[in-house]
Amino acid sequence: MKYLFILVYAFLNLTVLASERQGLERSIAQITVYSQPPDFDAPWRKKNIKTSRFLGVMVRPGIVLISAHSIAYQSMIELNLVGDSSKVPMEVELVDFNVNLALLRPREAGALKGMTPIDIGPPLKINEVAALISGKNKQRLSRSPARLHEVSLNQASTSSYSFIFHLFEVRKTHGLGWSEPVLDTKGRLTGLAVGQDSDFVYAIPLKIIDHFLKDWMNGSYQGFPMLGLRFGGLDSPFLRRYLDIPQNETGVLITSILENSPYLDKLKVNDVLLKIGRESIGNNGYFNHKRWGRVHFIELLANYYAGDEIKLTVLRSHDTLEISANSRPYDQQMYLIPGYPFSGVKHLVFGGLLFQELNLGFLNTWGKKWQRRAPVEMVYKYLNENKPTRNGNKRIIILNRVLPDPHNKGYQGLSNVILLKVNGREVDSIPSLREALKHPRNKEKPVAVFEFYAAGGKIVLDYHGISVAHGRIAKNYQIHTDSTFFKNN
Amino acid sequence: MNHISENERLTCSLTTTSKWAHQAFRNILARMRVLFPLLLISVSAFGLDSAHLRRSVYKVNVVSQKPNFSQPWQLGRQSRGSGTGFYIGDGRILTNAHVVAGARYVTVQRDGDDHPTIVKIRYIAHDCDLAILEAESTDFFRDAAPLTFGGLPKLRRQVVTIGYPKGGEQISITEGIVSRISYRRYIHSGYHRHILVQVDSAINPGNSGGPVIQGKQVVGVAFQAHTGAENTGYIIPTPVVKRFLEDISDGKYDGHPDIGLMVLKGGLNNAAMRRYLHVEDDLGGVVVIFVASYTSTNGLIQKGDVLFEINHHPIGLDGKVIFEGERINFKAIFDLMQMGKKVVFSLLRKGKKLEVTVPVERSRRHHDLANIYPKFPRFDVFAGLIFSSLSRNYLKGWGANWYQDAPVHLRFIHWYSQILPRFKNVEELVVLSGRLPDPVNIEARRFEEAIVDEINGIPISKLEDIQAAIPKGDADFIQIKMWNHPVPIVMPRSDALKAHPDILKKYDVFPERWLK
Repeated sequence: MKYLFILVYAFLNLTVLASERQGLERSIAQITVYSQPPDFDAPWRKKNIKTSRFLGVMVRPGIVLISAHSIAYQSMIELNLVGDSSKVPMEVELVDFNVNLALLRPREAGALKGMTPIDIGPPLKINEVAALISGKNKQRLSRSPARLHEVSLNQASTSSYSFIFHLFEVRKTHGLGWSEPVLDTKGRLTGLAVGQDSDFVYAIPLKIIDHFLKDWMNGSYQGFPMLGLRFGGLDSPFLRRYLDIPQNETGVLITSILENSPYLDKLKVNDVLLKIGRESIGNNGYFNHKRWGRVHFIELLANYYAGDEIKLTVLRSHDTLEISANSRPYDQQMYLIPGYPFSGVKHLVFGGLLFQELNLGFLNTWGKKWQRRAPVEMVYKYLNENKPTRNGNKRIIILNRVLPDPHNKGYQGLSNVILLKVNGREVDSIPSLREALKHPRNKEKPVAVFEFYAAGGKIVLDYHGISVAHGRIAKNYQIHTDSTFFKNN
Repeated sequence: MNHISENERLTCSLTTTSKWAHQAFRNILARMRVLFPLLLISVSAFGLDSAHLRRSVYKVNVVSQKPNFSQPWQLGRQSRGSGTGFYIGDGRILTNAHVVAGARYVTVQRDGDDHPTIVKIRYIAHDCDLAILEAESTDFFRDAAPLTFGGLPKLRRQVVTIGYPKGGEQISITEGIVSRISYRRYIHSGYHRHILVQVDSAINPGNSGGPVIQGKQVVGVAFQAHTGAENTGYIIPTPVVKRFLEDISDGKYDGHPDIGLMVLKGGLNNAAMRRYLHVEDDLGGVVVIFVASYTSTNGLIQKGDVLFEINHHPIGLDGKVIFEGERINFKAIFDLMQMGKKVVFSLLRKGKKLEVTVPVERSRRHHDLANIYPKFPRFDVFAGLIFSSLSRNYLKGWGANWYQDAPVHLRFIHWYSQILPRFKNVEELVVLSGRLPDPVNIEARRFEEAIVDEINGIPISKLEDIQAAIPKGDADFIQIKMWNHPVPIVMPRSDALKAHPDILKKYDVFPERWLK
């Protein structure tokens, strides 16, 4: 009798497992992405084609969710069901690099009839066990138990936007964090794994995914909001006494209001932010989350869509004020040193001097440890001086390197220096560089004068012969894009 | 019989009848090939034999303690090391500064002696890695002949390095060839550049401070090895040694001057640059791209000047001059000058030729880009907050790869403070290097390694400013603002003043400041 029970139990479980597996494999597919990231050292071309595989999960009929990182710089995307080799060409429906999420749809409508959308579950609780689904390269999917260890503030690898991530304990983290769906015990989607370290797998939580989907379904995607403020903690009782903040008030000190903040003319430095909406904020920037306990107040922004009115309660000289503004979408391209240039690397060559924008993509050419290896003045500026500008069109322009040519003799050792001025004009973008180059010095024998940051010094190049030099350089270095070179039209 | 001359008969006999003898002689000769040069050298060097050499070249044994940059009122652990020194007359032994840096006890011993002799460090020059030791009694040198100095060693000529490298107790002699003469950074300083000579003989630990001889004279002091290459060593050449000896002749070491200039080498190869700066075709030179505010060139040399001569040595487009038959960076000329002398630059400024005389003076700031070797680093402690002077040594607390591993903002300000308006003219960069935990300073934990900007509204330009600033400002609070931190450290004044002596006692801090 005992053995019969064990057999029946095992059979039922196998059946459940088998049918569950079949269910999963109707909702989760393997995605092959062919991508070509830019070559930051030669920005007129791209690097070798890279083939990568990920998992995508159907969230709506014909719509597959995947991490944005997976499809960055993509040139082609294909989907296949697990265990099935036939490929369905896909294209990008929507991508938001700020939260590292993207939606794909088939090129041909109805091509994913064999798939069913996955159910969306409720958010997880701390210590709740979920399943991390992997198998991007296998003939079947597999599950790894993943315990939700904590929620914490972090940034997507594709942006500097901060939001709350789930940190899962998984027995082996190696090889995970490549867009694996996270499912609860009932097989419902509750997160998307997008990164790992030796201890944890990091996942985008359901709230962010839900926000992203609903925003898309509204018809015109607004994005995630930003306040445009910088804060300091007020947990020092001495600081609170010094600033004369009553003991019964808790909140964070507003230390800076960024140029693109919707609160620019409404808030003041040293205002104390007490609440966002109805939630009170603690002195260390945390609030009491119903499900997760103490969580950073940034989590509250996920309750809003960009453009929504967000009410802030602040303390100013003992007065409590309610200040509202229509939030703006976070846009990393507004920053002086923006994130990855997913739409191409802006650059310009003059006489063999290769100028381009400083961005996170360029800094990452020094590898994962770029904060240690990249030129310290660039790293410093990225970490300490990187702010958005009102119009978002100011940049730091660097001289990447010099493409040796007789025209630039004497300067060929220069590389990785920040450009300040050209022909006496400040340069803060590639367009302003082009403009400055249109105004040579010394009319009789025109020259371009370049001034660099710190000890980069000043160098001078002739305009005469520049077209011929450009022709030589284009041929020598296989530069086929016409727009790479300066032309004085 | 064929006619054979007398000579031929003899030759034939050596060749034919004494083949075995001839072969034996060749075998012996081959074995002597190794020994023969050494014997030759030991006999020919200075006209002294090896016994005399043994009386003049010594093993230097050192017990040292390095400063502790984390708890700067304490000394670090003791360690033992050894090097080489040699007699230069007047009761003086020349060796390297790095052999005796941080020394608490130094002895010298000659090969063949059965006991060491205590010596004192009379002069130490960390900027050029040289030091002078003096024995307690001049009897020690009674049989010693001072080694004499020659000029810059000749390229591609043989040199002999004499010393006491690890691996034995006896004097060791190795040969090499002078392979390169350049102007490069000395490791012991970490910042200062001087003429440097490369030899292809191994210079091993223990050789440091030993004489390097070419012909009959000392042409350098062995001091560095190339860790990435075999049989490559470096020596401090005699021009640098002679400069050091002349510097200390007045009883005080003034140090090497810092030219404080950065130039664009090779920039005048470009025709457009030459035209723009009005540089005639027959003129060489380099363009000045940066002038430090704290050196004597400031105010006299300008950015954009074209330097084409230094003390009437023409400067090439590569920034080099001819010095003692070799081409060397022009800065070496300035580097070899004594304090108080003058250097004449011939330069072009906006197309006009000028001669500018620059006095050779000490650098005007504490913040040193070089390694420092104090007994205690400069520091001050207040209410448990440890304020230190930012230095290369401080950054080396992050390990051998400090230039990558130290915090970004410290690395940045260490190199670029000269171009930051706030710090351009400070004498010293003050870091909150640590905290002796106490309730009064508990909130400062977030600010460790931050650079101090102001205390009570007073800008801080050196450690001495701290004690001057503390009494100022708000009656109830002491406010310490850190660079790039919008929120200050705030401490109740009365609590901080009360806690200060208690903290010193609790953590056994003595002295509570060192500002030498």
